[in-house]
Amino acid sequence: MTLMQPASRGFDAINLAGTDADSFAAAVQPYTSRMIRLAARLAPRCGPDDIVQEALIRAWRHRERFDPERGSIASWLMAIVANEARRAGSRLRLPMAVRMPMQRASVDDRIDVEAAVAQLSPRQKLAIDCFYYADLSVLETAAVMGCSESTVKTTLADARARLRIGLGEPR
Amino acid sequence: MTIDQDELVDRALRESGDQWRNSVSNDLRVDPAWFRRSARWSRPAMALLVAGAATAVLLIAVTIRLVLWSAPQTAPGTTAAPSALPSAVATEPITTCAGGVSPATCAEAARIAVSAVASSGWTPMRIWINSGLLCPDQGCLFDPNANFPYPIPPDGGQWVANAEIAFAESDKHAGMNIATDGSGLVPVLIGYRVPALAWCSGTCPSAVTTEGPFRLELVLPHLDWKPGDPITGTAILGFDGPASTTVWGSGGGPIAFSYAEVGGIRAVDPIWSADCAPHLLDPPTPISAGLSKSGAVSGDEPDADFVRSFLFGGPGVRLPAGSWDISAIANFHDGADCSGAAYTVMATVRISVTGELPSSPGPAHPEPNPRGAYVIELSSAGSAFTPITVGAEGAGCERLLADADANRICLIANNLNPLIIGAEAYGALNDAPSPAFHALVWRARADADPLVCGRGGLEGELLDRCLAEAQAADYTYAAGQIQIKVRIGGAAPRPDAID
Repeated sequence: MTLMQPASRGFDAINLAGTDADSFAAAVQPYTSRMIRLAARLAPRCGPDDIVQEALIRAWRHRERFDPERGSIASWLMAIVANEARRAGSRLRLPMAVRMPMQRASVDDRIDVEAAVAQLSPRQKLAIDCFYYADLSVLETAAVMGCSESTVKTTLADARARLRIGLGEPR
Repeated sequence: MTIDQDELVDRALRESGDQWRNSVSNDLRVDPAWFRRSARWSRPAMALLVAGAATAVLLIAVTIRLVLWSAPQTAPGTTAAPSALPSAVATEPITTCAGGVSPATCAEAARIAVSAVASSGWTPMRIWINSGLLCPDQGCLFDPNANFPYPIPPDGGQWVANAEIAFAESDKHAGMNIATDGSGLVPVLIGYRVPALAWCSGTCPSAVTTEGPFRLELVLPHLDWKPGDPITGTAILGFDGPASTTVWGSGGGPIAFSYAEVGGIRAVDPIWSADCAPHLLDPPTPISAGLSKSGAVSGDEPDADFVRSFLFGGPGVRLPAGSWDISAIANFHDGADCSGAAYTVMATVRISVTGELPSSPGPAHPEPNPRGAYVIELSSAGSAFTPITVGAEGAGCERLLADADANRICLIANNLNPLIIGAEAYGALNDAPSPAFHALVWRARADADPLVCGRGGLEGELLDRCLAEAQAADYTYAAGQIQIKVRIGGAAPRPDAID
């Protein structure tokens, strides 16, 4: 099994400081799909497009702070999206999400797996959401979680171990 | 679990992820226009913008009003941002008067200050009118520690104030000194410069958001803090109406604060108690709230450890090193029992927490006050010493014209502000004894205050020499045929002193 996914690094060498709006838009465009998916996973009750737009505006305002020596542009953007998604979710001030019951009898494998994922610990769920659903790399997941890549891998392994129990015999 | 079983789970997750991704729309076209007009969008403003086109124009004006110091950078003469802004943002700038400038002078100064920067094409959003002078060189504009020569007012006029203007389209501020020529105020534009964050320029840093008749301002004493410093600030919710009104919101008050790490994931959003209570908003007496912290931690967030330590780490607002957005958020309704329209107004100020910068701002802009009458004693060609009272406008110094330096020292020492005296060395104060150095000695003796030496900017050996001469019983300044003594405590009463 290979956990590592190739990160999109096409624009990682860009120094964003001083870029104009057009260049900045072009630089971040390749990452919007994953940004939207991440927003949708982390704040499912909020509009992911709005979250990503807000995140991109924040990124634009702080673009001079992006240091390619310290990490990829993708990781930087994902961390900002995660922050925005969390803020958007908290502003709804909804009750704590109710854990979905296990749906072992479901014929929809995805629902079944997602129901099992919902039973994970918050950090395990976050790692799964980022890596498997938002399709982030381990490096980007680490940026979102604020931890090292090895911690992400460990967390993912622990999550899969728990999921095996929750899912029974995965097909 | 065996490797095979782990792979099976991995495969199930990948399939589930693939299916989920196929069910999610992920087509988003990034529009560069988002960035051109992003002069501080707030999330509530964004949400409301979506809510109705009728409010769009108002919201644009509201969000643009959130003027801070890190908007996109352009410079006068370039063709960037101004044209990208919708015309609806042309709101009246907010003027703050400080330093005892009279309201009438302040209002007129603000008016001419705006006219002085019209050629920039930028939209003035905040104006600070203050007493004293800004450094008249663009290189040291807004620098409260800069030494600069006392500028000559235009056409024999007198300086009355200075003006600093913040714009919607740039993080540069305009700076100018303002004089009166007898018939009116005359702006002397110095230039445009980004004020350093450590300076409390004009007044303290603040951000203002206006939504309808409600105005929320967040004011901090300064923008640079040390880790562990208790961060202070005040949010003020005002109401601009003909009479008082009542808003309804949390019983703990409508204002709370959020803290978000810039470019990071650490953030604390506030919570309000669920009760609903009336809060009177009277135009002359706004509701204010000191910076405080509230929030919740559920443990399922990547920054849970930070939130926990922030909330429960003792009293006071303390943030770790980094750049942080502090937002005041006012949540309330305009109808009884929390009915009617709901308002969420947010004003954000960005701060830096670092161990390298001082936790307090530098001194305010130097305020020249050339009215420090004092007494000297003059001896020419060995004659007896004769007392001379140097008048408030320097009258008497002409008696020293036999020596140009002595005459200059006499005039410079007439300033009460040591910074102004030191500035007369044009940046070379500590290189060698200069007229400015001797003027500091004279002023220190006249004021019987040796601390003038240090406050004027002297360091090292020259500071030691100044301190010694300031307190010496037999001090004499000799230049050619003339000798001058300066009485200790010989200064006239200082009703106008600024120190």
